[in-house]
Order: sequence, then C-alpha cells, then structure tokens
Amino acid sequence: MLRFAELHTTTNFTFLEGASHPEDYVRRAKELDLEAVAITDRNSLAGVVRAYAEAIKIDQRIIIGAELLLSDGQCLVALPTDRNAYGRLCRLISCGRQRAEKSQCLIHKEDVLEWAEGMIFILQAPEEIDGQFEESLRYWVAELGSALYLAAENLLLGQDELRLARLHEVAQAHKVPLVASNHAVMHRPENRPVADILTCIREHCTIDEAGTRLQKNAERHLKSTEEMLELFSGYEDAVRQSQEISQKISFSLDELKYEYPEEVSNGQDPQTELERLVIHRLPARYPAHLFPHGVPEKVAELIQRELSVIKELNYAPYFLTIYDIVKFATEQGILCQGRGSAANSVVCYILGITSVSPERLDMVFERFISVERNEPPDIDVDFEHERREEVIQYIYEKYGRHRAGLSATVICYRARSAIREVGKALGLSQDTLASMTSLVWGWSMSDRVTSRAQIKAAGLDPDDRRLALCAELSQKIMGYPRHLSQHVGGFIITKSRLDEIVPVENAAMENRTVIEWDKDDIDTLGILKVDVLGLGMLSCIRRAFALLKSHYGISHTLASLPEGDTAVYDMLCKADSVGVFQVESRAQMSFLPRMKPRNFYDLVIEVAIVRPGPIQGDMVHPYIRRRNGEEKAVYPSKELEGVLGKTLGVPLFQEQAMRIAIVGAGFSPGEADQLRRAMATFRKMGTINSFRDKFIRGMERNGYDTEFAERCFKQIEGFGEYGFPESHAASFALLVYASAWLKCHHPDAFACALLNSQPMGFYAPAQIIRDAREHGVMVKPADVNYSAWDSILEPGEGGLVLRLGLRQVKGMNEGDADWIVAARQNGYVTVRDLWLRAGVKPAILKRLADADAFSSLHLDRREALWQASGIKGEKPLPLFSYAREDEQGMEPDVILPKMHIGEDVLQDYRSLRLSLRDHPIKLLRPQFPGTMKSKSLLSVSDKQRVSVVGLVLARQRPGTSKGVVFMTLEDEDGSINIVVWRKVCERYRRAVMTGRLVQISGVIERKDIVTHLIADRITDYSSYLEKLGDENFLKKASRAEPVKNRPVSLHKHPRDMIKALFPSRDFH
Amino acid sequence: MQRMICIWFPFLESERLIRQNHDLAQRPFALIMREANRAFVSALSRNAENMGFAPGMSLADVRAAAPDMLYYDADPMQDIRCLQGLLRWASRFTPRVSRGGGHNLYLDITGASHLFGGEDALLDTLETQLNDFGFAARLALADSKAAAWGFAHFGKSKSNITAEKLPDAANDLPVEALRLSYASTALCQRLGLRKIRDLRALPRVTLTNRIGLEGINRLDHFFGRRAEVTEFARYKKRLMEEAQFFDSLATNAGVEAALEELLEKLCHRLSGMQQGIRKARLQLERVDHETMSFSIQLTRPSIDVNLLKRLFLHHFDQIDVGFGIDRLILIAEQAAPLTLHQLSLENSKVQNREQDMERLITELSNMVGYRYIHRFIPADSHIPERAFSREAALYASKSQRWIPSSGKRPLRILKKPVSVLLHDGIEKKAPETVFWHGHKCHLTPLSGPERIEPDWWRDDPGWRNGPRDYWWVKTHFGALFWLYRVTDGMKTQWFVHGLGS
Repeated sequence: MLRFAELHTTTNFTFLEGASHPEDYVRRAKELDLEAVAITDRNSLAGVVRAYAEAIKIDQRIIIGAELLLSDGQCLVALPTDRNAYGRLCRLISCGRQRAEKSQCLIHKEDVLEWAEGMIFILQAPEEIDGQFEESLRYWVAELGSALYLAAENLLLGQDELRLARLHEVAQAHKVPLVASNHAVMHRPENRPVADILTCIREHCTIDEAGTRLQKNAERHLKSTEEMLELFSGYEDAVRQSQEISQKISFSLDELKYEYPEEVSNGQDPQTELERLVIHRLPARYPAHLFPHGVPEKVAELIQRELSVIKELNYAPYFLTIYDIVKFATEQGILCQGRGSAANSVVCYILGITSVSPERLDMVFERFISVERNEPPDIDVDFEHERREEVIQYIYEKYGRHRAGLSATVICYRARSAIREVGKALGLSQDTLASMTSLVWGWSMSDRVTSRAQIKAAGLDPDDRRLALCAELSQKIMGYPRHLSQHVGGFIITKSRLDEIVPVENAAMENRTVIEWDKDDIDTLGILKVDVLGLGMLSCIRRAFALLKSHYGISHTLASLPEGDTAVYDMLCKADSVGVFQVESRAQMSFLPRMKPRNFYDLVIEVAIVRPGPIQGDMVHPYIRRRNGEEKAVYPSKELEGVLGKTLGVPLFQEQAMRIAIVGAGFSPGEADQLRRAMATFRKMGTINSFRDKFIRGMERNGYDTEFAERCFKQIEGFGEYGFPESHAASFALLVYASAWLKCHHPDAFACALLNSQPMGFYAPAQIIRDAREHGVMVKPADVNYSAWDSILEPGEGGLVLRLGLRQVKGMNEGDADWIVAARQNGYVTVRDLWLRAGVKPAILKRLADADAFSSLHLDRREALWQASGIKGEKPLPLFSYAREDEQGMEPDVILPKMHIGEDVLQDYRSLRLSLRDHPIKLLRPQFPGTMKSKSLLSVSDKQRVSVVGLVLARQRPGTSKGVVFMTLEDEDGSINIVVWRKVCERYRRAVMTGRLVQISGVIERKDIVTHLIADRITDYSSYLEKLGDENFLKKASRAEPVKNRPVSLHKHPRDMIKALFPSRDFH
Repeated sequence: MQRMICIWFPFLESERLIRQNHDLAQRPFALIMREANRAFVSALSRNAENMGFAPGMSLADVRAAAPDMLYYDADPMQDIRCLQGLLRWASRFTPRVSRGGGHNLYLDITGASHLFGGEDALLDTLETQLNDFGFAARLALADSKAAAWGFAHFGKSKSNITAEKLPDAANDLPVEALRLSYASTALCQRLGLRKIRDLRALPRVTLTNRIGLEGINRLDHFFGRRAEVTEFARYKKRLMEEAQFFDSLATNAGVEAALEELLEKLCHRLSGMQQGIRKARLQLERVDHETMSFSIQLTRPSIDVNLLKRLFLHHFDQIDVGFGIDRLILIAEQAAPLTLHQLSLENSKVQNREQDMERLITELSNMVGYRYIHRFIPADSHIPERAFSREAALYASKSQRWIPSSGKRPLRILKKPVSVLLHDGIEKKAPETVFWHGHKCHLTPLSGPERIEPDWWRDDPGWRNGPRDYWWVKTHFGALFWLYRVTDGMKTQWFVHGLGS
C-alpha cells in the first residue's frame, strides 16, 4: 500500500521557526497514518529524542535526520541510514557548530562530502529553478550519486504546477528522483499564528510590519497520503519515493549503545579495581580504634551485596569515574558531597563520595540500583560553588572534549517571557507588557491574567483585541524551546567518541562544550551522566571550618562533626534557623516547631516534607498529627506498611510514591518510572489521564480506598515537577546538620562564612547580620583600617567580633580592597593617605566614604566625602606625592552639617544595603500610631486584631497555595509572617506585589510558637522610605491622617530608587 | 548694571493644550512621551499634579492609580513653537529677548522698564498678560540671568532682586537654584549642603576642588561676578518679493511680465542660498482692494524661472484683472536645499525618464490639483489589497521596489470583489463558466490555485470567509480574470477580484 512519509519537518527545536513540538509531529503522523515522519531540524539533532520517546509510546515510525543549511545557502536534508552514518552526521554537525559561535553553525559543501557515507540526501530547490541550480544539482549528482533526491512541494503558492513541471524536467535530465514533501513547520494548519509570531520574534518586528516575511498560507503542515496524492496528481511517483526512502533507512535511536568510560589503564578489570579500592579504604572509615572488632557485620554484608549488584550490572566503571572526580576535588581541598540513590551506598561512603554513613540512617536500599530496571545509577556530586569550575576543567582535561560534554538545558518560554515576546510581536508597548507580566506569578498559565478587573487594575484596556490575542498566543508558546543552554553540571562521559552519539557544540561560557540533549533526553536513552553541581552552602561550611581552625583551633570535616547534639536540635525546634541550609525558608521555619526534629532522620524528613509534592498531596498535616500522637498511624494494607512504615503511613518521598504505584496499583517498575517521567514536564500533561485511570483502578482492585488512591496520585503529580527523593534528602540533611551545628556553637564563624559566600540562601546580608547580633555576635562596621575584602573575625572586647568586609560596600571591587589591606601598615591617617598609599581611585574613595568606612579616622560620612571629593586626578604623581600631601594639608577646615539618624540609615542602605545603626522602621514608627512591633505579637492572643508595619523581606506564592501569597515583613524587632488570602490579594494587588514598606492589619493566628497574621487590609507606604532622610518629616510624630501617599516616582536616579534600596526577594 | 527678567512656564505643555480646548481646564490630564521601550508621563496638568502625580512616572502606573485620567501625546516641537510665539510677544517690551533651555524666556530690560511704569509694574504687566493668554508664569528680575533663573524657579514669584538685596535673598535658595551639574548637585546633597548659604560659607578654594571650575562659574554668574553671554533672538526676513505699479496692470500679459520679473529676483536670491522653491504663492491686489492668490507646488525644489512661471500660468485663466492690478506679491512659502544631480553617462536615459516623470507629476498636480494625482507605493503584505498604498504623487517617496515574490497580481484590483458563481459542495478546480455582469463567460484556467490566508491578527470584514484560493483564468472574449474561491464547507462561491490583460 502506498503511504506517504514526510521527510522534511522543522520542529520548534529550530528555534523561532518551527511552530510545533517534535512530539506533535509524531502524534499527528500517527493520526494521519503516515509511513514515517522524519525529524529534521536545521543543523541540529536537539529535538529527536523527544520525538523518539513519543514514537515508542504510540508506536509510530520516525526517521532521524537534520536539515543542513550550508554556508553558501544551499539546503539539504540528511537522513542517516544506519548507526555509522548517524555517527557521521553527529560529527558533521559538531564540526560545523564548533567552528562557529554559540548556537551558530557553519557547514561547507566539502564537509558534507567528507561525512556523506551512508546518508540519504534530499536537495531543496531554491525559489528560482535556474541554470545556477542545475549547476549545483550536477555537482551533487556527481558526488553523491544515487543517495541524492530532489524535494518537490506543492504549497498552493500560485505557480506550483509550473514549478512541479520544471522540477520534474530537471530531475529527469539529471536522473535524480523527485520526492514529495511539505517542508513542514507545523503539525497542523491551526498553528499558523504561532509560526507567524515566531517569525516576528526572530525578525525583531511587529506583526504589522512583518508583511511577506510571514507565511502566505498554512500549507506547510503534515498531510495525509490522500491529500499528497491529490496535490501531486501526475507526480504520484514522488509520493511513492518518500515511502521507498523511508524503507531504506534502518537506523533508530535504540541502536545508541552507551558505553562507560574505562577507568583503569593498567589492564585491570574495573570490578577488581573497585573491590581493591573498597578494601584499601575501609580502615579509613572504620578505624580500628573505634571498631576494635573490625567492620560491623551488617556493613560487611552490605558491601558484599552492593559489590555483587555492581558486578552484575557492570557499573564498576561508573563508580570509579565518580571516585576519581571526588578524589581530585579532595586533593585540591574542595569540599564536596555526593547525593542520589547510589550515593547512599556503603561503597560510596567508603570511597569518600558521601559523608553520610549508611548506619546513620536506616537507608532504604530498594532504590539503590534496581536490577530489573536497567537504568543507570544516580549520583550527583555537589561542590563548593566557587570552585566547581576547577572540577569541570579537570574532567575535560582527563577525558578530552570529544569524550566529555555538559548536557544541555532547554530554555523554554515561561509565562512572563512568552507574554513579553508575544506582546512585543503584537505591537503592545513595553509598559503595557510590563504591567501585564507583573500580574503573572509563577509559570502555570492557569493563573494567567484573565479577569477584566485585574487587567483594568493594571491600567490596561480589557477590551483590547490584541491583549486577548497576546494572552492566548503566549499560552500556546509557553513551553516552546527558545535556546539551548548548558546544564548546571550534568556531564556525559563516554568510552568512545561522544560526538558520534550526539552533536557537541560550544557553550556561551568559555572553555565549555555542550551536547545538544538535555537530561531528560539522556535519561530516555539510558545514558549515564555525572552531575557536577555547585552548592553555596559547601563553600560556606568550608569557610566556617577554616575559621574554626584558625580562631578556635578546632578542626572538623563533614564526617567528623559530633552526632546527635541536643543543643543543635533544640535550636532547630525553636525555628532559629536563619542561614541554616534548606530549613531557613519561611515555610520551613513555621514547620520546624511542629515537626520538632530530634534526630538525623527527622532532618531527612524535614528536608523532604516542605516541598510541593507532599504539600499538594496533602501529606504534611497527617504526618504531623501522627508524629505528635494526635492521630494513630494506620496503614492501608500490610504491603504498604512495608513501604510507609518509616513515615508513619504517610508517603513523603519520591521512592515511596513509586513503590505505592508498584506495590499498591500493580505497576511494573518500568511503568512507575514512565509515570514519573510523564509528569516531569508539564506539556506532556495530556498523557497523564491514562496513567491516572490505571493507577486508581489498580489501587481499587487491590482494595484501597478511592480517596487514598487519589491523594497518592496527586502526590505523584507533585513529585513529577519537584521530585525529591529520600536519597537526596539524606545527603542534604547532613548539610542541614552541619550548618545548624555551626550556627549553634559558632554563630560568629557561621555568620562570617555566610557573608563571604553571598549571594546564596534565602536571606540578604542585612538579615544574616541581624540574626548574628541577636545571637550575641558583636558586629563592627566596614572600615578601611580594619576590614579586608571578606568579612573577618577579629579580637575585640570580650572575645571575637565580626568585622564586615569591604565586599559589602556597593561598587567596591576585590582588587582595590586587596590594595587597601596590603598598603595599610600601621593604618591610614587621612583619606588622602589612603589614596596615596593604596592607589585607590577617587571614585572608590567616595564610595568608601558613603559607606562610612573612615570612622577609625574620626571622620564621619560627610567629612570623609568632603575629603575624598577634594582629591582630583586618578593617580598621585609619584615624584610629588609627599610634597603635595603637605600642600594639601593647608586646606582650611570646614564644618559640614551633621547627619541626623534618618539620613545615616538611608545612606547605610544606599551604600551597604544594611545598617548597623537603627532599623528604618524604628525611625518611621511614630508615623504609624497603633501598630505593634513583631516581638509584642507573641503576647497577643489568638484571633486578636492587630496592625503592623514593616519592610517587605520576601513574598512567595507557591504553586501549591491556590493564589495565597505569603509575605514576610521585617521591623525593628524581627520578622512577621503574613498570609494574604486570594481575595484580599486581588483587592490590594498592587500593594501586595510591589510594596516595599507596607502597613497591614489583620487577625492573629497562632499554632504552637508559630504566629501568622491573616491580612485583611494592606496599605503601601513605600514613599515614606524616601522621606527617611527628611528630618522634619521624622520629627513630626503621629499624624491623625497619613500624609498624602504619593505614588513612588520611578523617574529618578537609580541610586535613589526605593525599589533598589529596599529590595524584597520574590519567589514565585 | 544689567537687569534681566526670567519667565518660567511651569505648565506650558498642558496649558498649550488647554488653550486649544477649554474643556480640558477642569480635567486632570497627562502628556505622554515614548522613549525606546517606555511610555512615561512627561508633563501633567496642574490639577493632575495636585493629585500627587509627578512627571517621570510610567504611564501604566498612572493609569492604574487614576483610571479616569486623560492622556495626550507630548509634542516638544509644538511646545518650542509656542515658546517662540511667546518670545515674539515679549519682544514688544525689549528687543533683547532670548529663549533659555527648558521653558524659560529671558528679557534684558536694562534701561527699558521706565517705559512700562518701572520694574515692578513691568513684572505685573507681564504676569497679567501671560495669565490672560492662559499661561501660568513665574517671573523674577535680577542682575544676572543665573540669578533671575534661580529666583524664578525657587524664589517668590515676581521677586525683584537688586544688587544689594541679592546676597541675603540668595542665602535661602536651595543649591538646585544654581543649576550645577547633576553630579555636583548630588554631591552637595550628600555633603548636607542644601542651601546656597551653606555653599557660601565654604572657602572658595576648597569648594572649587569639589564642584569644579564650572560650578564656581555658575556661582559667579549667579552673583554677577562674571558675565554670561546671551544670544538674543533675531528674526529672519521672509522670502518674498513685491512690485507696485503706478499704472495698474490691465492684462494677463502684463501680470505675466511682472511675475517673471519677481520670479527672477526671488530665484536669484534663492540661488545664492542654494535653495529652491517647493511651494510659492502669488498674491494679486487690485485697485479696488480685492485680492486674489494662487499657489503652486513642486516635487523637487527649483529655481527654474520658466518652469515656475509655467506652473503659475495654469491659474491665469482665473485672473480677473477688473479695474487693474496695482500690486504683486510673490512669496516662497516653502524652500528647500537644491538637489544637484550628477549626470551619469550610462544611466542618463533612466535619469531623464525619472526627471521627466517628476516634471509631469508637477505639471499635472498643479493643473488638476495635487489631491488627484496619485502614485502607488508598494506595501509589504500577502493580502492583495494591502500590498499597495496610494499617496499624493507630489509628495510620494520615489520608486520603491515592488516585491516580486508575492505572486502575480492583476493590474486592476476591484475595490469590492464581484461574485460570479455560487454552487453547492466544494469544488477545488477553477470553474468553466461564470456570470460576469449577467453575461456567461467561458473560462480557461491559466494558473493556480494560490492560497492566501487572512491576517489572523486583524478583523477584516472582507476576509471573514477564511482562506481564498486564487486562480488566473482567461475568458472566451480574451480578458484575464483574477478569480478566487471561498467555501464555508457547504457551498463554494467564486469572486472576481481583479482584471488583467
């Protein structure tokens, strides 16, 4: 039977051109009953794995290929027929991409010939079929012979019949078969608007200007065999040719066999080497003085079991690879820590990949490596974020760029970026778009701007047709890939050439090469990757350890911290966790006092539980109730008790959710994994329903409650996007413990290390310092005579004090700071002195003056600035430096007006983003009579009405909260947790979303020691912050009426903008 | 001693609009400026400013806060024109007037105030008259431009500052009144130097080190210790020639001769300026005080006396000399630099053709009126009726390339396509017969179909029926039709959209 095969498609992985997902083509091909569909993106194979995954699922044949756009403008579709030809295509694209800039590709005619063996080529005819084209056709025929075909389209452009006849004539003359195609850019004609919008984005024009750059019609879509035959009547052979070509191609992506790199060079068998290493390193982890009876029996047994699994699956090379990387890091003094299912094995503990000893948590071994599910083991390694690059370069160096590459991350349009770009293409003005995007939180479009009132509130016209189009199309474009970026650290390392598996291209960052596939694609194909990630907390911990050693003479490693320290857990139970890894967020803080962690495994749960998965599945409260004995732990069945025993019958970890699908709903392990993946990306949502039915029916069949089944499924849904497995939680928990231990016992060193590792974590330096002071740490301001670039600990009255580093000073750079330290000698006496000796530019001097860093010279901010601004010339002339100093010493003294406290604080924020003087709210408090301070809220009884005022520290609207916004305010006493219900949020939308200083009235809600304020009235007083420097304003105490609250003017020097001065951290 | 008045118009932009539309006086409104990617408020009406808005806010912010506010586009050119008008008005008080940056005027009234009843009376007069025009104005009189500016902006309105009063009066003005550079003003603020008093308290040497020589100069200008150069406005002479006749002209021939003389004079003057006439007007005044006037326009500026005369001659049949014409005025209403053309050897034919075409357009436009002579300009669109636009030929930008890739288009496109056939079902081939104005036509298809989809982003009533399939067909009587087909799934309808040959 004659069936058409579409051999030339452009998916949205040809960025800003293809208007459909690769999966869409595959599904549509199935609907149309096509012989096959080729995925041929321009000079790229980036989309093929997605198509392949879909093809397997729905059993549709696909062909892997690429459209080659040559440097001279000719266009060929290349379709490899077998594995070797595929390898050559990868090499060809890699070579074209590596010689060009990022995301560009430069392929010459000669390159094609070099790698052409085993490929079928379809030449695309230009618009004009002239002598020049015949010339090049002759060239290709001579070089490629029978592998060459000529593409023919009938796209209803008016002169198609003439063109077809002409093509036929030329093809006959050169004995090249014609092959029918649509040169598709979309899977259905309905996607034309999307294609047009992409064109506009690509061409940087609006839809009204785009004109003939747009598609004339929607004919470039997939068509059925019947349609093709009709369009090619008289040339049916061209349609038949497509089928014949597709039958000549045998290559499929499942032929890509992945091979681990061999780690052993001396001819040793990797397994033997691994076993040798384990035995060799065993005494280091289980030293004789601690384990007089030798290694515990349980551990020995585990080692045996793991080694045999590793042997069976031939994973030894993988462990050796990771061991090698970790060994390198350890030798360089880079702190690192492994996580992931395999990382929690005894083998990894012994090899030093992780510091969590297996007996420390009764670790589930079921997900270590499952024999039946032949998937690669999962180990991620976190390194100090500042030194990760060294590790990356080591890997490149060791394996070579042809064998090691970073995996890509597909950057997709999200709600905001989609609205912004689509709106621009539709000709909406930038400010309209700004108002529109500012109303979108997060990136699920279910939350897009729909209500007229909201659009109106943003100052826009809800009846505008373009706005409606913008909303509609941006929703469509969400999830479209925009460009490839490098993954944060996912390395692919192969035994043979990597660039014969996938094209490798240059990354934006120097010295990096990236493959074209992302981690999902790699997963799909079962390729191993090593995640080399950067983690700020590791830098912080390393710094803290170093401070402990130099100031207290204590040396520690992650593994050596004393376990089970009661004081540490006491501290966490009080939610005193600013700066502590993972548990410092507001949600975690309000959860800690309820969870009351008392041991390491509690921390593991703590890390995993406050996540969208368990929250969406409504698992948090049942767990807490059971834990606190308010509810009995019941198990839906005996089998599930085995799965859920550790978590009191409530599924919290990803592993458990998967086990439920297997044990409870009768999924095979493979299916369970498919289910997890199906939900990993939102755009595959369509396929979820079938899984859902299957899951719930399976649970019901096994006698479970429907409601329980639905809850479990919901949770799996949550895990899909934010999966958090126990194995990762365990590794993180160790860092939680380590950072909490440091904070508890050495708050000075911890705060200092935190400050020097910024930016990281949830809090800004202002909050870190405030917290440190509350824990009795003396903090001293940055000063040219005492500070270095980093913050340091220095001896002071009654112990060590924390001296802020010059890094806190806005506009300061490390080089100048180093010079200031190096040339300091016995201290600087005048501003001029600093200029002369450290060679610091006057501009920097002024910044230091603004930061009040000259107080040890008995100069206040203005006096220092006066002196600094008197210095002219970038650099002192060496010969006259001393003479000039004397001469300048003659400058008469001046008396400048003293700053009042408000000015000082404002200037502190301007220059340092924090103030060690007074909190702005303390100064403004008289303006807000009747408001309560955060500390006194503790004594207010539940359900009482209060009014508070504070700076907005953070606002969050988790996807799980159904439109509720959590705000965190800060006043002079501490922070206040605000809950804004959806209705209230809508009413005070602008204040909630853009306010920096707000007054909020509402009702207190208290549970244990956690206090929330449920807001019902929110007023934006951000403009008051501008008046901090106005003494008269501050002096006038409590007004009956608030002064007219002017909207904050945005047309100001950026230095003075309130938005920049008092930023809040917004998480969506 | 120099006496200088500064007049500042704080609400010039909005008051200019109110003068055009008095209803606006009661309503808050804002003027919007677009800059790169931002639309922001550049000026506000007085009552809008009283509501708490300030220039510089983003349009969206203002809209959100005051949904009922009215918006207009700012037009800085008009503002300047308005100021220039005011400048001309001011020149009745003193010939030495000039326009400063921003919305300020300076009047040097040294030795002139006594004509208006003294300095204070003059200030009163100025203010009253400006208020009558509908402009709020803040005025100040001082010995220097800088001081007048400072007091107009930051002092009491109508301050009259004499040399003796200046030091004391200046003390309380804010530093901004000195108009230092942004960086210097900011520095002063950071140093806590808010008033001019604070600056004066500082030793001059040290101050120079901080605010620079330029800053010190500003200070000296302010206190009149250093003269500031002012360039006063001068008015250009109009490009105009006139002739008076003792013996009035009684025939067109006489007028023609006189016109030729005027044209020669004017063109001679223009040629010295390298300018040519684009627009000219001839005014004829009769002895009975009737006036007639005729205008001509050209595509390209010219000083060709013969050409210009010929263009005027087109109007001569309308001249009614009556009892005779005793005055002729010729005004070049619009002049532009002469464009000189390099004659090229190879292309001289093309060039000549182009020039001939221009001349033809000029002649025709002046004969029948330039509104009636059009040129088709290509536009970039797949939609046939959007693929061109019509512009007055006299002003049209010349010879843009037609985009050939859009497919073959007919010479004549019908404004409203004519329905020629309707039948049930969906027919994909071109029809064999259609009814064109009631006559049956037999057709032979030539090419097609060409499918054109409507522009999905606009709601074009003509295109609501969805995509069209266009065909070129030949009728049995030899004409070419550009046909298209639309279908609603049940019926197919055919239209003729264009005719070719």
